[in-house]
Amino acid sequence: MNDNRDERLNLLFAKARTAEARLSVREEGFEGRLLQRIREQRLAASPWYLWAWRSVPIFSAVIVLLLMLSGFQGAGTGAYLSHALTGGDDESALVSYYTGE
Amino acid sequence: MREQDDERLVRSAVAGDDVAFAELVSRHKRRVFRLAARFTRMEHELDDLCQDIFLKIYENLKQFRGDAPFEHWLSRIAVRTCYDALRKQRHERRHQSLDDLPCEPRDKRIDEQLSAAEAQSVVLWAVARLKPEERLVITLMELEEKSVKEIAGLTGWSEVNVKVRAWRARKALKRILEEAGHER
Repeated sequence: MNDNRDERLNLLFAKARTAEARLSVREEGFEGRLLQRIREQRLAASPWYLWAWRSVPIFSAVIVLLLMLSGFQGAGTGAYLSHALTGGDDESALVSYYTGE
Repeated sequence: MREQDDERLVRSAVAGDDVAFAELVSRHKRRVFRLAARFTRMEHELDDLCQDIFLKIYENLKQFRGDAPFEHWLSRIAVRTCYDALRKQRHERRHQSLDDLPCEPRDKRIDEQLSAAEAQSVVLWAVARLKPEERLVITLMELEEKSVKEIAGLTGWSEVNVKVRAWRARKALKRILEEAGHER
């Protein structure tokens, strides 16, 4: 009885082995999907200092923008001061008073 | 020659060459898909499992020393990842009836008339009911035709352990097939 069951099991395995290996449709483009997943994991596992380096261009751009804005404002203030110093009568009088000229 | 090429590709991949790794995957994916297909029938699960295998290979590539052929090293990782997947599957399906699993070829007589495809379906249906370690051993032994020594090398288990698990798996399979009415 037991031998019979063993024989049947062996027959079942022998027949199953002769079945053609199933070809998966997923083999197509598998490398691309795998590399995409590797890149995603690589990005997710990046240490904080890599993010800091990556954000350098953004911060640089912000700093340049701020400098440009302050430059424009600075130019406006400079013009006002220049006018006040060269064209304003009150300031000239004050300067004359202090210097005694 | 092929082994040397594999080693060259491994070195390039370790140095950060993704194209070299993709080439390595192309060379070995057939073997990995074939093995993984022994443990899952659903295409999306098969794709996930193969990705997990190659991801582990990628993560451990630096540890490949080239003492043995790359294929052997790859097979060990593939088998161990499949075993992890089987254990996870069992945990997830603990409350799901195995009768809900796709393709249930009940009432197929096991005789000379049974076709190879039918036999494969019956085997897959039956081994899905085994414990993960029994399923792994019986699949490697009976379908992949690996020796006890080879299975011990692939799984990291002792040869005695492999023999005991194979014996238990066969005993359980005979009972499963008998209960399902395949043994008549």
